[in-house]
Amino acid sequence: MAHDALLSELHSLRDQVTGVMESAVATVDGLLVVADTDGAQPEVVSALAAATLGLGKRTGHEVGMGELREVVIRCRGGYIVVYAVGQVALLAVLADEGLDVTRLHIESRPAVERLGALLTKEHSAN
Amino acid sequence: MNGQYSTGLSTPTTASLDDLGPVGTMLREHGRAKLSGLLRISGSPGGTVFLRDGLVVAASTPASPGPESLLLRSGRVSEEAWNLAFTAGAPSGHLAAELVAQSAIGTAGLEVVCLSAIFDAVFAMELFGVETCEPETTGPHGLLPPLPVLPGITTDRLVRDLSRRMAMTAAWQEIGVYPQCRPVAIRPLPESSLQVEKIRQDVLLKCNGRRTPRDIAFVLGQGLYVVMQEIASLAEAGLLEPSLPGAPKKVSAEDPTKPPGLPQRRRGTSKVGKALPQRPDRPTIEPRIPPDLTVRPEENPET
Repeated sequence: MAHDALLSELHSLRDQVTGVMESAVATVDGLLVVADTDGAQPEVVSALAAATLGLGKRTGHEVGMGELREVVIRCRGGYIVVYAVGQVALLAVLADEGLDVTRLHIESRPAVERLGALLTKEHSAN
Repeated sequence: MNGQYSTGLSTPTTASLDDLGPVGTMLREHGRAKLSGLLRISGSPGGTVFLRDGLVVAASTPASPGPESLLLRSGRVSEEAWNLAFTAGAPSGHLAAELVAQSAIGTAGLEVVCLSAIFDAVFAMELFGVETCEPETTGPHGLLPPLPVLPGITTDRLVRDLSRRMAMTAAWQEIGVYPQCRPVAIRPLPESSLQVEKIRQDVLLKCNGRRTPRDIAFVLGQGLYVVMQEIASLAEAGLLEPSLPGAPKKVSAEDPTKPPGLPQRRRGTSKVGKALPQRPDRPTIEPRIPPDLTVRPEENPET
């Protein structure tokens, strides 16, 4: 089932990248698809991540910096990183302040690709 | 389990202390060469060690909390005091002096935290595994992370402590406590007012089967070694299970029983109205489904 495949992608991201605590996949309009969360409320994270991604894309476009890579929010207690997954979805990653940022950048690209492939399969199957 | 606190808390043999790991070897080599610069240690996750004249002044790694996390997460220094001291002192490299000047923490207390962060970082890098090490000479005026320990610690002292800690962790592995384990609490601890017991209690409360010892160390603002020691001791006492092989991980999703498919935007589908705290002056948003959508034909996969 694609749901399990999506979830195992999120689990392996948490296993591979030191500092990743929680993550969620949502549609670009902020509806939760699947989440590997602990304390965060996945529906709220999905909705806010969609708004964050939209704002990031728009800002990047406005100042002419090209295509969006990801939106990174840094707080005292950690990071919130939002990636676009194709045209239909997004990946939100919550991490603590010790996050291995370099590793996340390396691991997240292929993870986003795989998530995109799984979601497109689902989308076209519908 | 028989004999509380037996395994893991015994004194390691001297033979194991002479066995230098990769980090210990690199530290000793560059300490003796009086390096002023940094060692970029690649591994999973690796880290950086900063040296001045062969003395270690700072070390940072994603695998263990640095001085900032240790001070703020544990509540030793308040957020407000940190922000004030950081703004005033960090650009000129006087963060430590500013923290003390604002009475946020005492000189001795601060030094203990910064020293323990270095010992812990070096231990964490060795524990999680190291691939390569690249030395880089920056000279005596190279940029240092906030809160360095000056003039620094001799590499011999660091290496001695590292060997002792590694020998301890080898014993913990036998009871299933290793860096990647995700312990689960089984029984709660009886209430206690002792400070030592408080850390034990805090560690146990964070063992939910998701967090590794490193994650718990960050959440609590305690050193990785201290947290692993507590986990080993709690495991010995039978209060937690160090790792559950193949344990079902917590899942939250739209509805796993439904056939796969991206959720569609309809009023109320996000459930955000339910997840957000309710305010008495605002009515809750309930899903309003148009009449033609209220009865949806069941999808039969066989037809």
